[in-house]
Amino acid sequence: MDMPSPHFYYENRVFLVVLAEMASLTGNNDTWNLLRRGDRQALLALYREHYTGLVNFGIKLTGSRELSKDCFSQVLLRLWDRRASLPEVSNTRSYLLTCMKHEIMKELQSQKNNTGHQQLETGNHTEPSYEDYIVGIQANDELRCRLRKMLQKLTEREKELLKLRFFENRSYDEIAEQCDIAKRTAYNIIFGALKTLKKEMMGKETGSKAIVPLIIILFTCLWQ
Amino acid sequence: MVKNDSASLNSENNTMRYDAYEVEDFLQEQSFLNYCIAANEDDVRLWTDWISAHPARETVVKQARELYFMLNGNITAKQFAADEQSFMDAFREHTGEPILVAREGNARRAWWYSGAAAAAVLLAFLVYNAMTTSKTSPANQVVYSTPNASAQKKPVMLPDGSSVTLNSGSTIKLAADFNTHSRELTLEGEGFFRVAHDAGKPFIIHTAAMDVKVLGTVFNVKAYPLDRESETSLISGSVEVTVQKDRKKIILAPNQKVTLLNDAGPAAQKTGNAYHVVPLTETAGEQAVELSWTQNKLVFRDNNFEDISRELGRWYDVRFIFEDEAVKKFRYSATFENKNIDEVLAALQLSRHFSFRKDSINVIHISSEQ
Repeated sequence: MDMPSPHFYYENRVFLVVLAEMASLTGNNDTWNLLRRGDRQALLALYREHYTGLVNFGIKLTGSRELSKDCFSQVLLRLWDRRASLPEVSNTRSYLLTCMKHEIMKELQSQKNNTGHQQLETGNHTEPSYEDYIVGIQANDELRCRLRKMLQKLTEREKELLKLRFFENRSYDEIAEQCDIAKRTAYNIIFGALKTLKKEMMGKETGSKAIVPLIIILFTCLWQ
Repeated sequence: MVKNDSASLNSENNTMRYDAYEVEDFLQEQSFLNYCIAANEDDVRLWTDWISAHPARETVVKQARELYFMLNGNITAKQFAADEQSFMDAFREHTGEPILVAREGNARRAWWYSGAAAAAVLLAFLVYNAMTTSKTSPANQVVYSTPNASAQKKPVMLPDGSSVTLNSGSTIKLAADFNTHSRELTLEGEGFFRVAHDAGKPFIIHTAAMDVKVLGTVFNVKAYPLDRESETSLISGSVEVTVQKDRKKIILAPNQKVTLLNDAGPAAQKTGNAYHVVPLTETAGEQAVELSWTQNKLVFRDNNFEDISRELGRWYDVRFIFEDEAVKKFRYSATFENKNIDEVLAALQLSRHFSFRKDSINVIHISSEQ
């Protein structure tokens, strides 16, 4: 049996997500402003916060995790050099993405020059889909097969949102805006997708697990 | 966008709601994702604590983590830590300075002393105590401390010209009137002292298990609350040790140490004789084992694994869980210098086999499985 998805169930969680994102928004600008004032810890904080999103973004462009993470480091070191003249930004992530794009282009260009006109992964590198990528990097055939099967249970939309949330590390605000849906809808789609994946991951025990959501609902009710 | 947020946001009053969490709920918490790849210390602490308080949920947490790694492109804590390290190295190379200042107390750094020309005699003390209740005045105390896994073992200069080098996870508190008519301090942890000569002002170290009176020289004190034993070792010079329990006084000769059982456990009750005076453990042609830590060496001489694990815990800031009592009794002798925890454990395994697995980032499970 699937979730009847009553509103009260999600409501308080969505509220918390909203709070979390408000905190992060101010937190981000704080970090950025600290960096402009020459705080090294702020630079490290930016690295930690944006690592997942930016490195994965770079991997899609270059096809190489090594190259991508080096470019990300390079971007931050350049920011450090220019810290005194950095502008105020409202969206740190997009600013970093732009820097990252430049850095990667420059890097690929110089590699191209160095190696003669060898065809590098630049232009002709075709981006694998999110699904192909995360399946492809699993350690062995068994895992690849398992993950492929798990993902087959999802709709395209669910996969797209999972990618935005976990691979690109986007906030629900950004996801809602990009997909032009309500934040709660985004949350619910991802929640449902995670549940499906979990069921597939755990295999046979699904039947007995169906009772768990009911218990949670019951608890949530009692708590209100 | 990414969050630094969540640990503080979700703390305490909210941790209760985690109890009913399933895989999909955990993955909706940014703090949990931060914990999975260890990208935020507060979140790691929050979740590690929560998990150790809810062992029954371990499987669910593990599944959630596994699923997250599948979805985020196989970015694990290990991967993240390696990349972060290479970023920090790149920063150092680029700017000539480290990105993080060593985790030292500011007060302590102010007292760093480089050309210490203190008294020439060497005296080492190792005192373990259980819970240092201060016998000196609590007001206006100057406190120096070092965190676990502190890499720097530099001397702290005391106001009287003496110096002390503190080992990981150690604290000393100076009496408010330190250096007026006497020099008294309390120690929890381990310290190597060089005491400036001043016959008019006795230098006294208080610990839970014993008081140590130094008659002007250089010495080392170690006093960790959770250890089984306390000990005081003397390299040269003269010290007088007073056992807290019965106020018995022992004068140590050079190259001797006195060992006391902490907190008079059952063994001590039985024998009634809670201390032993024995020679220091010499390593061939080198300094005593008791002082090896001051040179960043970890030395074990026929120690049991349980005692070794405490030492390693402080040295590397990790926690050990023995899943098998028998392994605690394994005995090892070894010397390590500039090795990481994995290398140390791998070397011990060669001597007598055990298996270990790291849970999250700083908890290590030890068992006897093959």
